Amino acid sequence: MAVERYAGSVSHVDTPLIRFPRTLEEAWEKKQENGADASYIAGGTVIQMQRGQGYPCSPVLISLETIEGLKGITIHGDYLEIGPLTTLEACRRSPLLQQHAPCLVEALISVAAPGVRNRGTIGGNIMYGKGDTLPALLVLDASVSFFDNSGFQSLPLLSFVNKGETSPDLLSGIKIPLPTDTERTISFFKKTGRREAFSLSVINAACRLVLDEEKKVEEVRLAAGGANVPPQCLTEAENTLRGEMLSTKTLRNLHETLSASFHPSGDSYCSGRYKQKAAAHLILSHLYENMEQSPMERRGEDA
Amino acid sequence: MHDTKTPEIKPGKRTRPDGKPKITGRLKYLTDLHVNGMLYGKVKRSEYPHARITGIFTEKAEALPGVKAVITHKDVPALNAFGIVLPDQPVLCSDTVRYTGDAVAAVAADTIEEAEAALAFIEVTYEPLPVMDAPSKSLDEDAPLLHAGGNILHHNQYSQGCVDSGFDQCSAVVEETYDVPRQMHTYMETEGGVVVPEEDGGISVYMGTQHGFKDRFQLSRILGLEEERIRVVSSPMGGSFGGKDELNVQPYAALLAMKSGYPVHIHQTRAESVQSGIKRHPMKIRMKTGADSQGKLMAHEVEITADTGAYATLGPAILDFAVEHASGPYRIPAVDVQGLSVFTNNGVAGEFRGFGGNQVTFALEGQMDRLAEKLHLSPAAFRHSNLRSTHDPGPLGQTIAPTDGAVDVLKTLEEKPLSVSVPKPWKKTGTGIAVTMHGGGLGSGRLDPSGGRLLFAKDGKIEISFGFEEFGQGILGVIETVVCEALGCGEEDIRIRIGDTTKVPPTGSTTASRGTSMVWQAVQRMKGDFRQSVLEKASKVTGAEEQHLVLGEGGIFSGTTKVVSYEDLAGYLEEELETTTFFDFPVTPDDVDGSHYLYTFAAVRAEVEVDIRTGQVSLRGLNQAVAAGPVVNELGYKGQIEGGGVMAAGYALMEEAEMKEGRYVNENLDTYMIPGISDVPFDLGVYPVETLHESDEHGPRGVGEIGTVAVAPAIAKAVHDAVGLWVDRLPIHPERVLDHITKRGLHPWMET
Repeated sequence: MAVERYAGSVSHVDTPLIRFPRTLEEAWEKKQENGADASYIAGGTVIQMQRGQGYPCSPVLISLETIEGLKGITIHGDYLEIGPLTTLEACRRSPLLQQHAPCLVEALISVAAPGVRNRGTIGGNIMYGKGDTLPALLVLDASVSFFDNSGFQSLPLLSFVNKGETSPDLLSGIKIPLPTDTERTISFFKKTGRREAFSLSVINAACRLVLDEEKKVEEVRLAAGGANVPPQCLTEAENTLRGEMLSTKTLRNLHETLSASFHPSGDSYCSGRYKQKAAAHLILSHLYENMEQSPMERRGEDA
Repeated sequence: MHDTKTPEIKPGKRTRPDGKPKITGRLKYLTDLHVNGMLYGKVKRSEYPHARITGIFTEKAEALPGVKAVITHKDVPALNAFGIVLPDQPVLCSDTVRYTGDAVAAVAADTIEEAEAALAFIEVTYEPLPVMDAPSKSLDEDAPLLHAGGNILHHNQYSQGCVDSGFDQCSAVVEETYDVPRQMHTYMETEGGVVVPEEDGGISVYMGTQHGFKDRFQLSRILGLEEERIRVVSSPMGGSFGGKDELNVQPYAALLAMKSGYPVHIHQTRAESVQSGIKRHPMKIRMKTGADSQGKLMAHEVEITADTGAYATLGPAILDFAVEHASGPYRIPAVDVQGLSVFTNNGVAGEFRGFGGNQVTFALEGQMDRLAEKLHLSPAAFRHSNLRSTHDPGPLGQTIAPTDGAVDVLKTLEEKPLSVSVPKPWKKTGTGIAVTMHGGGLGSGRLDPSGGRLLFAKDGKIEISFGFEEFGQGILGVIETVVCEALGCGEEDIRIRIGDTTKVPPTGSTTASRGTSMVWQAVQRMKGDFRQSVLEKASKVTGAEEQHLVLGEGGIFSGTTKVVSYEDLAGYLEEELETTTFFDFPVTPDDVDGSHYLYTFAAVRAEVEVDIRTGQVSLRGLNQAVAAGPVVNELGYKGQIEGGGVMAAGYALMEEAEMKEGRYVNENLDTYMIPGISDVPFDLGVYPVETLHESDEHGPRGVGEIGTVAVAPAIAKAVHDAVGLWVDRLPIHPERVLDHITKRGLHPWMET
């Protein structure tokens, strides 16, 4: 049997230097100066958790907290605009989000615990790459603006997320189109965790659909994510719904499509198959409640 | 004497003396202690679950700035081992590591950061050995021996009657194998404190434990230092639940303090606590149980295999307890119980609230529910027709204190209404009950001394002293209530001393639900003599006749008139008035080793909602009826039963300190889940049955454990009631529930 030697390596004492830039440009420059030795930090809740998990903290932290203009929720024309440094708790309490993006508020309620929501920011939740708000933002057709070496840019959230974790971008804004017809919009977000609150997602799912005057699905967005499942749009499932009435037949088709097309990976807690089933049932139960012929009595019997 | 002051709170609802400092965050725990000039200690633990150590090199670490001492096995002056039952765990390993919590070296430095950095410079070379990560592997014929005595820590068995002929008479037999998980105590305060080297060559140990005198004994054995030169200050603690009963970091801080000459502070991080701390024993329990056509239990066959991890600690006693409680409160003519506790390279399993009872009760009550269903009887009716009655012997055939507890708790629970639940879409509701009995004290044939001391002190305080510890369970509240009620004095008049080996009498461990019981018995034994000695003195001083005097709030009263205050009376003392008592925890008169004499009982009803979309189980109601004699302190009692219930709900629904190849899968509280407030039902019912049998003079019993024992089986049955799944494995995993629901075709969007 091989003899293995575990020798100590020089590890720096874990007390990072913290920079407080005033502008996005300055923050960007600090990052360029320090390269891989530097990380941006907003609320710090993810970095704190990762330190607890034994990941070394970057020797230089560039705090974004002192940069002005990155906080707050406003309406600009057809868009809601959220500053990335707005805390999760401020977003959750925002009357504008409650009115125009209820499924995002649902997602925010499910994130961590009050202490984390008071510090953590929506920008951080996005940049973390696994945040519970991502599927909700995806179904809301959110786009993000960010700053990188070619200046300010905008991308749909999905494209931005798909760029990958190594992206050095600095988030400057989040835009959500205002819904045109809330009467005919159905939207929701559902998360399952390992306990009722303050838990990592096992799986989460979000949906937004708009029905036309004939009660057929006109617009549809389905998304899922959580923990090690990358946030994703469920495009094939969306196609099953588009143009259809919400009927038992449609839901059965949707169930089959989700089973065939959505393959989340498992983890140490549960299998990917479980995640697929739970996500499908959560989506389908909400659509079922909104079916045209879905009297409550019948639902009572079925459930 | 009481009418001079209107009590603010009913005596039974006293606020615990340590309540306010705790909830305001003002209480200083021993891990908060800061001693001038103290160093910070860190322990280097094994890289491997099982390996031979081929070299330990400390020179580089010793040369680092700030490092004041590095210790290895070479620095242990006397016995390099600890363990309450048998000392088989090395303080610092020299040649072999048997789990990832094994300590190989430790460092004391000026700062935590320097100590941590130094750990990385201690080079340890290993030759990995095959990992025995399950009892089945350790029991294999070709398995390497983890200890010189082999891989079996302990075997125990009990039998009465003939199970084979018993089963022949059965019309219903169920056989099932149950798996229960390794659970973590998850006390809020992780292990630690400070050890101070004293000028006389002795040491003072300021670290939480459940038995200061036992720590003193074990440290003496390790350090080669007389017990009298070791002072152990061990209360208050931020939780223990059994988890701090065994030594943890005391030896490292002590060795580092003695080597460096400085006080040494060690406080484990949560991750260090997970890695090194003991856990509840995972067990695999096979039960075959049969009843006749009248619904009478006839035969019960049990095989328990416990994964005790790398070292013994209290593993043998826990197995004994599980074997004893395997037939619980039921009369069964033929019983055969076999128990095996097996060493593995997993985390050390040991003492934890319930002490082996929770595991077997989950299995036993599962059997009762399965049999009831087979016999088309209600779970309550089936239990009633088999529960023990007043004078039945205990589960090992031994004489026990007469009790109707088993029947009383079930009847009490049946009278309490279910909580009103509003039907919700996609949720199925269910209800389950379970019953249990739980022995108090360490058991027959084991040293289980107790006692106490009452002192009328020079400053006029009535000082009550015990060798018990306060780890959140509320012993201070119990002592205050019992003393005030027994003597008639007020809480301002007394001073409670616990948790300091130089100041308190040795009154045994604060374990095994014995605290309340022992405090009450000690005070009953002392109160007459103590009262008499104080009143005699008061009579001499005041000239009043002794028979007219009573102790009251603030002083000595004659009728409603205070004749002398305690403080004034103390001024006349030539010497302090002391009354002491020593006695043993009551045991059965029969020669049945390890068996118990005083039992408490609980009946539990759980109400759950199962989400048919995700398989998740939510606990919506938890009611417990408990028979443990008179309630001493209502709030303390309620707190123990509610808290125990929540801890057991975690055991049933989410907690598992899972190990893969000898390593913890969940290393911290981000993935090791315990219930949060959202997981707890809004209303938790606690219904005490306070009556004792007329011949019972043993008074109130401790309720530290009973609230945890029968909760999991009640939840498991509630899940069965809701969706039809028989649960045989804890925690109840949503994936298994959903798989079951899927088969039943409850989802309208799925073709059935």
